[in-house]
Amino acid sequence: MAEKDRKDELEESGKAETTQDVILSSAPESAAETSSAPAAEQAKKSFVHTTAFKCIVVLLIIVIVCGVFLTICNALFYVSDQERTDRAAKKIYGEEVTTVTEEVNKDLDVGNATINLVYTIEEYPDDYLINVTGKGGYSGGTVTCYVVITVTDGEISVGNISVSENTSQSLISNVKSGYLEGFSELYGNEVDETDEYYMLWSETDGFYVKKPGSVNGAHLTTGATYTMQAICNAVNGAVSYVEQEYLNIEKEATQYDDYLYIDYINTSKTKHSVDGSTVTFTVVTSGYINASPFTVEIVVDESETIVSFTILDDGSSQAMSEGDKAAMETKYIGLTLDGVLECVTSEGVLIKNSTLYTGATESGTLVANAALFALANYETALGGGQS
Amino acid sequence: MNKYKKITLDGLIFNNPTFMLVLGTCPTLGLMSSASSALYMGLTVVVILTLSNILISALRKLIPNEVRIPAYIVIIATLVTFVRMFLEKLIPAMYDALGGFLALIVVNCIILGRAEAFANKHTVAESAVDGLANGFGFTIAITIMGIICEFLGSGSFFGLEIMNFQISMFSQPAGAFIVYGLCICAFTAIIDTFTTKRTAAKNAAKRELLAKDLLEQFNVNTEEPLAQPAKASGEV
Repeated sequence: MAEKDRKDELEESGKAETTQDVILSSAPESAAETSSAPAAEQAKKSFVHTTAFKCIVVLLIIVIVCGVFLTICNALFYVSDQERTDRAAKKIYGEEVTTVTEEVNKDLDVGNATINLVYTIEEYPDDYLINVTGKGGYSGGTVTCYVVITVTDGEISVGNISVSENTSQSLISNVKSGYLEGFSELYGNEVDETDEYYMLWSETDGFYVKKPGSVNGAHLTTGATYTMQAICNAVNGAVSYVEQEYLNIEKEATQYDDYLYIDYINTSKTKHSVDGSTVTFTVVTSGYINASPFTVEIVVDESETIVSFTILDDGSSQAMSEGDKAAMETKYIGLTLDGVLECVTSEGVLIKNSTLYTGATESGTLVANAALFALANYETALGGGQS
Repeated sequence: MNKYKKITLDGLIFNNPTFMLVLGTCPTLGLMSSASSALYMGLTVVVILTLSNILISALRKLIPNEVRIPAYIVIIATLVTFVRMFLEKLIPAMYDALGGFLALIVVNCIILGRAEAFANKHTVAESAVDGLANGFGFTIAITIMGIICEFLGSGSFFGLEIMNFQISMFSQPAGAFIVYGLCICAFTAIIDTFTTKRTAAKNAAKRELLAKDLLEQFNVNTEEPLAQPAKASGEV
């Protein structure tokens, strides 16, 4: 009995212990539970009161307020394309005129320019106001101009020019309005040199910037040679567009029009002669940015390598010394088409630090393209003409 | 000295942002070839600097220190965009003259520098005066240099042709650098001379006052000649 009692007691005490244990073991958990809930709330509250939260809120508010303010300003001060055109037209004509938009393929590439829009003027029915973007500006940028082209009895004349936009032309403010006056006087007048204007005009090249060193020459006068060249390209593009679209004047076809690699080649002045299995090309290039056209005599033999390479007319912006010329010529002897292709990009521009690079990218590009033209078209020229 | 007077003189002359602190060099060199472009840039900076100083000063207690720079830049960029839209719509000639340098005002050191150094520590009124003073200090400096460069580089004055002779280098950044350096020299020399003379005069006046005070302190009658000290008699 005593043992039983004792067992009972033990069991009870065990239970009690168990119960106590349960109570005791569960007490911390409940305490933990009860203490973790306010801790989580405290953690949430404390994030709201942290500096990080305040920073985020303040920045967001500032950004939203500024955004709303600018949206309102944009609505109040928005300048439409038509308004820009009317301003340009008023600047060009000196009075308010009515512009009418012509239908034109947007982003139409003509030479080194892109035609954006064409307008006719009600008050001046012979005029076309062309919004054109000229390429070849500084750092590969462009200049967008409004160019007036007048067509009278099938004859074209260039009117006033107004520059509207540009990309990357930081010195465009140096191109003053006076520099844009030569276009109308020079168009159609091919002169070797004139002291009066900053550009020249030729039948084959259109308008181009005068070389440095000449009076009002490039570099030293405007500090914006590339910008001026982009403007010249824009005007050339506008003239070509009017010739093709409204006068149906097409560029005179030459035997080299279907040849390869003619982007930098003046196909109307280039010629070649065949002597057995050797072809001698006298390649006249176009200009490229600051470099004027080069004339290069290239002899290609039956192994389709260059056996002779002579620069007859140096068009580099800083005239090359005889030593530099000879060094450049030597690089091309023995070259094949693949050898030249390794040194130019897909657009035909000479790669810096390639084997053909001599320190002058623009001149080097023209000379390399002359070599490409000769090597790629050897067989065609040998065959006697069309590819 | 009245505090507003001091703030104005500091911004215009003694801490001129262009000549003394050499801040905002990029638009200075880029637009110096034309006096009118320089003037336009200066006036634009006056407006933006004053407005940004006012806004940043008004918000200085609300913006936490940790995000003050991004907040300032957002405010300054908003003001520049607003001014850009305003000019393009209403004053297109000025907009064309400024070109790409208008957008660069966002990162002009003068604006961010004054916001950080002054506007976030002073009242709205003081910050506004500081903005005006520094803005006009910048305008006067850049316009003077623009006049010099345009005269030498193009032979003209605000677009009006004056002479046929031109030194083209001064139309370009190289010439602008030379003019900038020489103007800093000249300005610093003038200020140094002026402050040296002023300081010397101030110090002389101070010394006189001090001497008078000392003499009064020791009850010395300055109008009577000083008595000769007695010879030592050896008495104790």
